[in-house]
Amino acid sequence: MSAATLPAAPAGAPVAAVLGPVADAVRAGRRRRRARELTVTAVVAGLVVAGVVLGLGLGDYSLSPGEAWAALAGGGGALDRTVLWELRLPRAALAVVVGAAFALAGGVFQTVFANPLASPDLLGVTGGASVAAVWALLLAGLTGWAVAGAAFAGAAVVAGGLLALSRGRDLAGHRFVLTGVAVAFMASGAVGYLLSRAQVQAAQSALVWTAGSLGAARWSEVALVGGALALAVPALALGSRALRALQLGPLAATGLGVRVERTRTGLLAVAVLLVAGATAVVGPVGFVALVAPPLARRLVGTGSPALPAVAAVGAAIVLGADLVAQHAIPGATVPTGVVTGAVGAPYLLWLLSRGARS
Amino acid sequence: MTTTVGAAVARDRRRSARRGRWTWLACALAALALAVVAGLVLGARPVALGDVVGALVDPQGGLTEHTVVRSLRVPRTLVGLLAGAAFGVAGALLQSLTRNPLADPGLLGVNAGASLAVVIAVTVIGVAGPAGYVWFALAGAAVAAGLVYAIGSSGRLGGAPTTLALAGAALTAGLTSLITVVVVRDVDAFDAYRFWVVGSLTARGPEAIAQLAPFLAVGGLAAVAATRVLDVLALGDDTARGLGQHVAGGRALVLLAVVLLAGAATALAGPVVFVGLVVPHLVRRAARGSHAWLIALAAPMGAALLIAADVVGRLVARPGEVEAGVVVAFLGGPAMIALVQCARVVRP
Amino acid sequence: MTAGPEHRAPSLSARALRAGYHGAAVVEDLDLTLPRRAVTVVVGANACGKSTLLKTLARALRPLGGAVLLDGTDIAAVPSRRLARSLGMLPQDPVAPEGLSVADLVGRGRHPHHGWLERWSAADDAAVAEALAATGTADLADRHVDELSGGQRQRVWIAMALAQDPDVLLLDEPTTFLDLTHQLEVLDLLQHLNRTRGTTVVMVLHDLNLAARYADHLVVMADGRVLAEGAPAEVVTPDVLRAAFRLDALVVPDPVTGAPMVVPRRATPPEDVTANDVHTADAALPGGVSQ
Repeated sequence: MSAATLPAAPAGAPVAAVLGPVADAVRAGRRRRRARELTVTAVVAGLVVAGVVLGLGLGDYSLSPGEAWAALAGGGGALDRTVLWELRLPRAALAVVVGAAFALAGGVFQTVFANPLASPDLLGVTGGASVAAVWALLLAGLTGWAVAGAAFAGAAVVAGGLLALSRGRDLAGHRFVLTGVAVAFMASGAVGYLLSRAQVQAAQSALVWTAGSLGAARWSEVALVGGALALAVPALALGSRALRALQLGPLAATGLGVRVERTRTGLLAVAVLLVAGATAVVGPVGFVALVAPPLARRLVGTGSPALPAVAAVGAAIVLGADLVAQHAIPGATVPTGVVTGAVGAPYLLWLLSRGARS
Repeated sequence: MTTTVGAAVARDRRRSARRGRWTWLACALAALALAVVAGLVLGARPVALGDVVGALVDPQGGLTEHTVVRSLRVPRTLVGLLAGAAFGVAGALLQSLTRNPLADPGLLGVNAGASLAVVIAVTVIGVAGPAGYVWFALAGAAVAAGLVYAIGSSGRLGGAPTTLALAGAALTAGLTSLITVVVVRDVDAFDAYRFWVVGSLTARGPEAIAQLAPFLAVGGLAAVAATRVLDVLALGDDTARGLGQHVAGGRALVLLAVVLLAGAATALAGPVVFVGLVVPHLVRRAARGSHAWLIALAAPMGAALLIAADVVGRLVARPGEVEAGVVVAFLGGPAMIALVQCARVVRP
Repeated sequence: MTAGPEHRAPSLSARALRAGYHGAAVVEDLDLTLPRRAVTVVVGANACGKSTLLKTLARALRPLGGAVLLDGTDIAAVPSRRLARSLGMLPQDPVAPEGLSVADLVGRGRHPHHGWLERWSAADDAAVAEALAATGTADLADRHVDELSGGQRQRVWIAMALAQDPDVLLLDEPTTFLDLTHQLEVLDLLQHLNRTRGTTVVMVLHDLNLAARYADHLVVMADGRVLAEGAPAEVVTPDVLRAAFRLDALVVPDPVTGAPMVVPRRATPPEDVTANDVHTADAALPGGVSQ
């Protein structure tokens, strides 16, 4: 765009003198915003690393930082190494990837629907996973990976159904959201029914699954969720410009040349992949998808979708919640999802009392 | 001339509207009667209509049929009738109060509040047996209903159907996590909770009906008084004030009616969703803008629906049964989805 | 008039257009050609279909029948990013996320000019700066959009549309909720942009007098059809006002601009008027007393 074609500003000010400094200011502003986003993401990521290192030392078998470091590097005693590499590190790693996955999915959902309450755990996606998993545990007598597979399928089926039901006439996304809420309630009805039919001990452990727990984490589980992230991140990077346009609402986004329905479906499919993968492995750890994105965006403060920061905040939340779940009550372990829920619920009430704004 | 003609036309229209409404009311009452009969006759052990009448009029202790009817079927049908009517009316009032076609006490977290209170009752206070839950459920439901109303009228986006529905789902999820904290460690609490949460018409016995009847009665009276208020509030706050209505006081009255009805119904039948949502939509057309007619039609329809759900639950899984709450969730969910697809409810 | 070399001034037209929501048509069988490089204003009573028409022209709504053509090509067939370089839309009451700065918002207008991987160039910065300068919002560049006043915010959204630099700009009621001073500011700006850049401007306005003042071409809609179109002086007549708005009014020349100005007498009772009514007989008052 050449400056030669610039029309006179209505006040008739000399053109070149006005334009140069303004363009510089625009460029400077843009750089400032990007720097801020990077800084916040880096700081939170640093906190996550610190949290992982801290968690490695905590527990019944405590390790000093020096011992932990030695075991990481390959030295140290065999027991140290086992505890670290087979127990604590996989669990911490799982917390990080699961947190990032839930948070990213939540961020995408909230941006696509321009509503801070539109979260995959409220729209029946994780509910579908719960129904499938509880059915697998209680009625089909499955364990381990079969349950995870069932959960993944449950989430995918619900998400697919929601996307199919809202094709075509749903520019603002209301239909998707409201259908999702209906499905969420149906799912909890189904789970309640299944729990009331089984023998009480089995039902109680199935309930634990529905609360979301990192339990006996294995590297294979970390790899699964990590794989989902590896697929999703490039897709989200490609879609980030469309996401910024979608933030302005579907009409303005259409005006900017975004095919809203198609883009929305693609972005949501990626988000569902993340949620389904994470839920299949750890169960529905509630509220991370809901809470992490607004928190991250408020920290960054530039109004952009800020997905890297969102992922970092999600990882930090789940890691922190997991540490609390393991160590806060001596001698007892609480499911991680319960901690996130117990913190998330008051946050939510506070958010609602301020009035939900997009 | 024009004036008289116009006035005559208006008068005719009013008359035909009233006639139409009475017809609808007759239909609703007929549906209710049918449901009640089905509730008494059908089940794992079908009882002939003659025996039912006999059981009611001239009970003989020895006959199994009479026992089944009197001690099992009558109480649960009565619970279904009272709770269903209460849910229907509460839903209608709440939808008008929040001007939101998706308001339903169950969808908005009243159930979760009641459930949390019940769980606390069992664990912290050590209440045993369903009869004791009743007061806690009522209190928990009342608190949740207050929260629900606050959510329904706050913020710029607050009040939009999507936001309200999501807020209710989120509040339910939050309260449910708190519940999970407790029941995951305490087997007895879990056992109590899992049977409470499916929403059954049989869990709370006839004593509960007697205990809650006063609340239902007061709630019903408040609802009737509230219809006047809602007719005026429907014109907008400023218009209502101009017509002499005290807006905040009127709202409080409506909310009181909702709390009493939804709370007592939840205490009686457990957490039931969707009834309060679907029933007002079914009868709104027929009521033609009059709230008195809206609740007059919503009460029998809600009762019929809940009793019918209970009957279905008895029939599909013989000799066992599926609780009414689960049936309603599975029938009401698609009903809500169908409503949403029709686009009438979607616009905020 | 210094039109930019990119402004090819494509012609935008609707042919046999049927448009609406959820299968129910609001606009029926509409044929309309929007004059190039001119300011066209669409007016009409509530629910006449003007917003629906605008959204369908902008491809925010899919037509139920017929087509919208840009230079003879159906816009449904044009790739969306290329279309956005020619056709831009500003919706009614647009929303910006919390914390978004003005410069950032205006920058989003460059979206259709970028490929898959965002490569922000100096040219983009210059475009943003130009848009800010042209709308007089350069000093607001670092402010947050949600902190601005109504008039400032509207100008900032227009700046975003400017940065997008479309050949045709569609605006849905850009002056709603603004006080008169700001309404005039926004409309002056749009007219200025049209005169200097040659952008074709099509907007829906609800204020008849402002429409008559700023329009080169005025389109009056009623019941989903075009009732009348042409220069304001030809279109704004008592008969058209009666038919489209059920308004009994005088039309006098505006003392400032000479454009037609509507001075209402009273609203005509519905029973006395049909859309085809062109008689100038006064409506009978209730009670049978005629004027």
